Amino acid sequence: MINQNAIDPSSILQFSSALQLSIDSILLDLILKDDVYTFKFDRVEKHDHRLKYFQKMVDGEFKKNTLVVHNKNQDWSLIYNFLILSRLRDEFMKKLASDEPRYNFFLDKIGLEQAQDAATTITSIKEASDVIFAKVKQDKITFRELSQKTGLTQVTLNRFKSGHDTKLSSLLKIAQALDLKISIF
Amino acid sequence: MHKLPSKAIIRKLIKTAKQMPLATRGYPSRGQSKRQELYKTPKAKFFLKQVSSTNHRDCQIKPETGTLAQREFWAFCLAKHIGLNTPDLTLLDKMTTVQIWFDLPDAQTFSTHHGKLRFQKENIFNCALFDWVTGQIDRHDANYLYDTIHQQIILIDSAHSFLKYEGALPDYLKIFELVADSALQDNITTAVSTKLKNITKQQLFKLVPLKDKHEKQALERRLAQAKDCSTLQNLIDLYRD
Repeated sequence: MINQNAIDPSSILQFSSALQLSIDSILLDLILKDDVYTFKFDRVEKHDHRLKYFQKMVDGEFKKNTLVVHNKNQDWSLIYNFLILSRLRDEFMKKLASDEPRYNFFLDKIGLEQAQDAATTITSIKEASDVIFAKVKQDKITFRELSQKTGLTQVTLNRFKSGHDTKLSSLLKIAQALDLKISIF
Repeated sequence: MHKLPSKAIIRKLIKTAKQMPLATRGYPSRGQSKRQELYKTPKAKFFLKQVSSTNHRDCQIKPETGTLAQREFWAFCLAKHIGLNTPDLTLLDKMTTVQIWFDLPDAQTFSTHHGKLRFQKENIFNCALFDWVTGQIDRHDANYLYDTIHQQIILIDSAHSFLKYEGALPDYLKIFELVADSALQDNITTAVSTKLKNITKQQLFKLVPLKDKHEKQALERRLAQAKDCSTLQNLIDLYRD
């Protein structure tokens, strides 16, 4: 069990595994002594940016191939969860943080932009169409796939893309298919 | 890297690679295999799985009809043919597979440590069709990965495939049935389902060269049944009939 305040000696393997699966450098050992945690690496890989993320998350200090962490107010249980769920991949970290804001703390420490739901104000059909089809392009969805997801014909989609009016029900179907939200203020 | 190199290169890379931990908890691997190892190579992480005659005895599978490794490879070949997203996998020898390791949590890990699994019905339909046709009997929550960005599941460990049995309702389908009642009746057509439904008998047995007559018949039957499915409810009904 990884407690909030400390890594229990019986959980060293568990925590080490979670960290190892997230980084490129090879972790040889994790030593817990009093309130100092020493992570020993075979070699700290030069381009292992995820290990650097971890260093920042835990306020660690590198001494050659060893990362020394003073256990001060870290939430190890949360760190562990963050590691196994995100594997310290940027897009996964941001997504996790957007679902659960308490993870934004780590994004701050790492220096990653916090996940925020970016809202776009739309005042015309063409603007709506531009936003929608920018998302389509970003997600690399074909017209055929979008048609299948929404149940709308490709002709309807094309017309909307060209800036023609579309039914609200169609817009809602498209937004849902693209995981977009529509708000009215 | 999403595509495996040649077998010769894989063997060479593994020889000098560092072995990494597999599970994040102390419990052993969930599958039935002699050896499961994860290697970090300069190209990618490779997951090696080797089975033994004991594993086959435990699973009551006659290796001469197709070993667990072969069955997993055949399942991958079928998945690749229909365009279903699964990690690239190769058969190193009759008893050993190597696949690209995806750095994603499995569904069990995600739901235990984070929150709800959110599914896309098209993705569930694709996977459920595949699992039905392959007669999957072991689709528990550690046998599919969860991509939280795209809310998609990715099937892994399809070794228990192409037996003569009808399979068991996959874990993800049980969850979907509970939470997405209204979507169960939606007609779904995807590129994957179209490809699967258009596969010929010749193509099928080229991809899945089964030797046992009963297993071949069962596979043909399941494929024919799958061709009539256009909703998730249709698929669920197949298990319950």
